[in-house]
Amino acid sequence: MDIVFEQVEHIYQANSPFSQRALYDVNLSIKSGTYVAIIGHTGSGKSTLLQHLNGLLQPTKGMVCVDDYVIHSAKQAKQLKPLRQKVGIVFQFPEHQLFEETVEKDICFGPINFGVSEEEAKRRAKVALSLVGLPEEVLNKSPFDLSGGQMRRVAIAGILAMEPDVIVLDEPTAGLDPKGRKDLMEMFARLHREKQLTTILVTHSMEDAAKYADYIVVMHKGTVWKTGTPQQIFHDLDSLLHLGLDVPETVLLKRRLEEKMGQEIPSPCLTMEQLIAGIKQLFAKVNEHE
Amino acid sequence: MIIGRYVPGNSVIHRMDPRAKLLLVFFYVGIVFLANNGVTYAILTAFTLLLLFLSQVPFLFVLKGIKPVLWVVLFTFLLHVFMTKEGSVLYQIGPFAIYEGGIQQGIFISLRFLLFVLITTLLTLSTTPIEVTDAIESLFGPLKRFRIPVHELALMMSISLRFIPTLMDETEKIMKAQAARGVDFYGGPLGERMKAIVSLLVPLFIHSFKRAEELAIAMEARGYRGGEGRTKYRVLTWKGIDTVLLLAVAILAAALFLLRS
Amino acid sequence: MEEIAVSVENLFFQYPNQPNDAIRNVSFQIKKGEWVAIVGHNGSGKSTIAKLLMGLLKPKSGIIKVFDQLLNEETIWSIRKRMGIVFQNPDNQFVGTTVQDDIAFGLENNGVPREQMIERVKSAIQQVGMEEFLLREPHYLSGGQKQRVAIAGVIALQPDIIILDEATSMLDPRGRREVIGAIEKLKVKHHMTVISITHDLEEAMKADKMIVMNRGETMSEGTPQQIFSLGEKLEEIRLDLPFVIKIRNELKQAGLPLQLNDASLEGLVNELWTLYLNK
Repeated sequence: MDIVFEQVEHIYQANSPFSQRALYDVNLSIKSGTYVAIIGHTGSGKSTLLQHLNGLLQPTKGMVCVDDYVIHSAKQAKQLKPLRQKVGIVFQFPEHQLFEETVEKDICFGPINFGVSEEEAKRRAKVALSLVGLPEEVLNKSPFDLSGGQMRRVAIAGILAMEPDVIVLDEPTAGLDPKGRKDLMEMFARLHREKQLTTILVTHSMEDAAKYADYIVVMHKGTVWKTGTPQQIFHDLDSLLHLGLDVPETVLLKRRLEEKMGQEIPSPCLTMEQLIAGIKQLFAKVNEHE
Repeated sequence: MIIGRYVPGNSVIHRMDPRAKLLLVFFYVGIVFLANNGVTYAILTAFTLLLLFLSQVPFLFVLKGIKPVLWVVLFTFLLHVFMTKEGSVLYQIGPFAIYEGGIQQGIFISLRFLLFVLITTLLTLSTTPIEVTDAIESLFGPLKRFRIPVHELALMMSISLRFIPTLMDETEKIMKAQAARGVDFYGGPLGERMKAIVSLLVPLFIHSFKRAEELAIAMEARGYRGGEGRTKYRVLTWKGIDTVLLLAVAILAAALFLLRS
Repeated sequence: MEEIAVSVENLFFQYPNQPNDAIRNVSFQIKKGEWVAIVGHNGSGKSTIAKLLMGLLKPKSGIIKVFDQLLNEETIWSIRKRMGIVFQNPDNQFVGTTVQDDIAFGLENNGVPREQMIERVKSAIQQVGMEEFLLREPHYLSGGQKQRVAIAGVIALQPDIIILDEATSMLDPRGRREVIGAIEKLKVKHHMTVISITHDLEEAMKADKMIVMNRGETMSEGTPQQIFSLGEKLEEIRLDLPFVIKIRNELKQAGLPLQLNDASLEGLVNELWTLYLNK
């Protein structure tokens, strides 16, 4: 499932006095099986971009190709349904979409809409529930009797049960406590590893982007400002800071140390481990000199 | 459609006390029925166009906005033309005859309807919903003596107005989330459509209840305990122009009364 | 002696239809002008405490005093005048149809005369830096802006205490910085007592004192430095450590003789630099 954006533009309420250009000149290509993080300010076009991935929005100019599907402005919404099974989107606060009487029914809702038999849907519900780390007893409970964190997991299970090839995550950890956040991010990393699930993460957490993504897309004011590996993106610290974006704290600390000591730390310091190793090296070098 | 929509502006009409505007429309609706001949309809139309002119809202904009209503006006006209059998026959098309009285009746009734639409549109174009709410609260204030919860009703109205855009956003978000789970809101067999609507309404209701609860707590925390002893930040001020325009309506009523046949 | 702003003794609370107490035997004191962070995982009872302090929930037993006044049915409204709260969801506390109407809402409720209201709305909006938004409707505002309006609504009432009930948890990083920045300014300017309820330990770092909640009980109380020295214990109760503290711990384990417990980035950089020079 390769994904390609070509010259994509999206104008909300085009041809009306309220028209607003949310995206322009977006060119992007995402290889099957990669983990991509999309970063940028609120209002930079991230959410508009991700709604193009399964045809919830159609470009007003240019085209989006997902596998064999080509979406351009003329495409009818009808033909896009099979695409929505292949690209699952977990929206922000996905627990707001729960509505069935039981957890099982809610998880089965997506698969059944895409023509899966009830039996198969129930089997998938069990699998999906264990993937998100909830016990099977939950299946027959009402989703509204669960805690906030559990509800979110159920909603995510509902998307996983569609067995998509691409999963799109819009701020999946918003509002969770630190442990809940970490567990969820680890779960998505595991899914990505084990199932080669193409994962597209929209996030404000630079730490998560640096830690999990193979590739980062920086959005700014409606277009792609830069793409690259985390190493490339966070190497150019100043321009990120100039955009008013955060940078991972590890990278920031590395920079401050380098400035203070006038010494370069060779590691990119994208994770805690790399940073610790980098600092140790710095001190080891001094010892060698002596 | 522009009925019910506010167009920001700073015209005389915009600056009028919303109470005066409400009263004006109220009386106007009463006296529209006084007109029954050419002269009275001409006066009434002139008065309405004057108000429209004073509001500085472009006439074409208003006309475009009430386009759907114009069809109804046309329909009313034709209905009267074909149904009224008074006066002399003007045309004879097969079994249908068009009478002079029919034409007259058609023009008068559809004009009355059109004026009625114009004046209410003018009210909403020049007055924010919250001003209308304030005016209603103030005008119906005396009803508090009869234990009618005027303040509470007005507060409910203003909170509803405040949350309309929020709920619209939320509706869109939930529709998108369910569409991503394979729901088709715009087609499919009846059974599936029902399910689609349920998948939208249940989350919307549950969330709205939660919102209402949180809002109630927030209001209590901010010291809200009913209308008693409350002061008001937004005040309505009755100005000279308000009296003038209401007097104009009174004069209009007198003129119509004297000149009607 | 320093004045005590809030004092809580042996507080118990149980939600209806719940088997266990949500708050169990909680006691603490908050001094006037202090910034206290109450931290804990989701469901630890920290938000319940905020609602109990405001008298929005009624305790099963225990005593709450605000500036030596006992919180009960009679004192509740006069106590609420001295305390303002900003809740989590920016949308669900915005009552007015415009920014100025919303800020005025609390003043209207308290029967403040109109001339005074206009003054206070103006000064409150300036203090959160949103003067140009006075006539704006809420759905044209960002989450951070709505929360700043909520703060303005609180300070317009000129309270002694402001409670932030997870006020930043639904915001993006920019919104979070805006809100925390606004609070920091207020604290300096008005010597206000701040109680921030949060699971963001970076936010809690700014506090003078931290109270750690776990499953309805207070687990620990102390300065951020003292609390962060608990290390793994915090992670066990679903919390985290601030980044700098984590790095410090790792470096110490790797054999670097770091002494201080400073949680700021600059502090760590300086200390490492000194170590580096002395090698």
